[in-house]
Amino acid sequence: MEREQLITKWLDNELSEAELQEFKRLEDYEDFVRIAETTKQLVPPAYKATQEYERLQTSLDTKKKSGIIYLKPFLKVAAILILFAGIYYATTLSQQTVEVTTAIAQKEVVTLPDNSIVTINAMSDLYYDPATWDEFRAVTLDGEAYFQVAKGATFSVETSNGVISVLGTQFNVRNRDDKFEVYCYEGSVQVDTGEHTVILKPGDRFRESVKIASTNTSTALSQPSWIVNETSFEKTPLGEVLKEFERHYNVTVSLDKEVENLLFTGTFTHLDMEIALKSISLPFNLSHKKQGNKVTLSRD
Amino acid sequence: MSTKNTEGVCKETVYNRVFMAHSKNLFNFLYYKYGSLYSPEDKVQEAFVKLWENCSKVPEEKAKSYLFTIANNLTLNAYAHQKVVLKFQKTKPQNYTNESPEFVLEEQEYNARLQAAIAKLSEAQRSAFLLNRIEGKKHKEIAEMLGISKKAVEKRIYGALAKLKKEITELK
Repeated sequence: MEREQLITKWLDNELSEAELQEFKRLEDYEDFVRIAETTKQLVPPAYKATQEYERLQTSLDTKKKSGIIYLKPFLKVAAILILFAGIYYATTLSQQTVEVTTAIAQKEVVTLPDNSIVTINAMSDLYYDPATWDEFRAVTLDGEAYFQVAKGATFSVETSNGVISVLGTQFNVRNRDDKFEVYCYEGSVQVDTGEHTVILKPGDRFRESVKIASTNTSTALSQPSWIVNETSFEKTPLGEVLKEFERHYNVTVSLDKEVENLLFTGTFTHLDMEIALKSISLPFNLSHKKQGNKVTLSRD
Repeated sequence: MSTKNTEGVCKETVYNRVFMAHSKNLFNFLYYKYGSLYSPEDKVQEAFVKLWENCSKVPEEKAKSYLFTIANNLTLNAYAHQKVVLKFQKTKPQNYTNESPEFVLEEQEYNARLQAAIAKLSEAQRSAFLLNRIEGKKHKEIAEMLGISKKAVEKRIYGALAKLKKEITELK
């Protein structure tokens, strides 16, 4: 019998006595048996059916109480009326998904249905659907936010560059243009981009900008500095530092191309533009000129 | 034992029976295929909720494939071909009393290498292979569960075995 056929029959436990003998004579026989024996001993996580059934009943009871299931015939008629009302609400009130958007120099604190707290930095967008919160905690983020997540089911943050999942912890996500950075303050955080999966512990930072991913550990801080109205940077190109600056002050900054990639380590305040500009330009001996709402930085 | 149930699974006793019969299998299947990242236990719950909402339309014999299809689609919505995280429980206890420490260590290393190689298989190969090897399901059963042909199942399992063997022997 052909080799693949023989092995397939063995996998299905369908070998006759004679075929079994033939199988045992295969060169790789022992390798296959070892793989099979070892695999057989792997045990998936325990599934407690009775407990899970009770949990299911609780969610179904909630649904039954709102009358969804038992009122089906009635709902067919009501549905037509609701449809028109729904169009009105969708265009004016939009209650389904909650969206929070921050503007320049604005920060916003949002409390989620399970009491998790999200502090959103300037020029950012956060979306979530309160309706599914009991079963599935997921938000979509564009920009930067600091998360303090209550313990519970997996909490995930979806960004255009990757998905961050946690079980109850504190972490900061920065997803701007092509730059993606996650910093873990407490607990453990899993970051999944298309190409990498890493688990961060307190003090770990995952950074990915235009395809270079790195994880480094530093002394653990307790919260991001932007919460206390400062942004700090570590070896960040000046171009990016100024992009962040523009999110907190209503100006556009132009910079000589040759200094765009100089690396800045330091902090600037969100509360005083002059001081902030000095903090950024002095380390590189740059001078700054302000005309209306345009700022220029240049080498003297 | 089973009365032909044309009213679907709306009766509490029937629904409970369906849950007890299929929930754990569904959980294991999702776990083998996608790992732990997308809360397989929650996806099982969601699939059963959908079953309840459509209870009058799903006859008892069709419940299993209905549940598997829904749960698989629910997970696919959240999943985007990311790396699978599989953490099997401590393997069943072994009788190591007479074995040397070197032997035990080698067994543990082999075990770890095998688990890593299993996590690297494609979802299709891994789910079919583990359903066959851990759950002891026949190729025909797996074909019914996954809604594919028996030949397709055989190709996946054989492919998985060949890949695993290659991974493990390469590292020796």
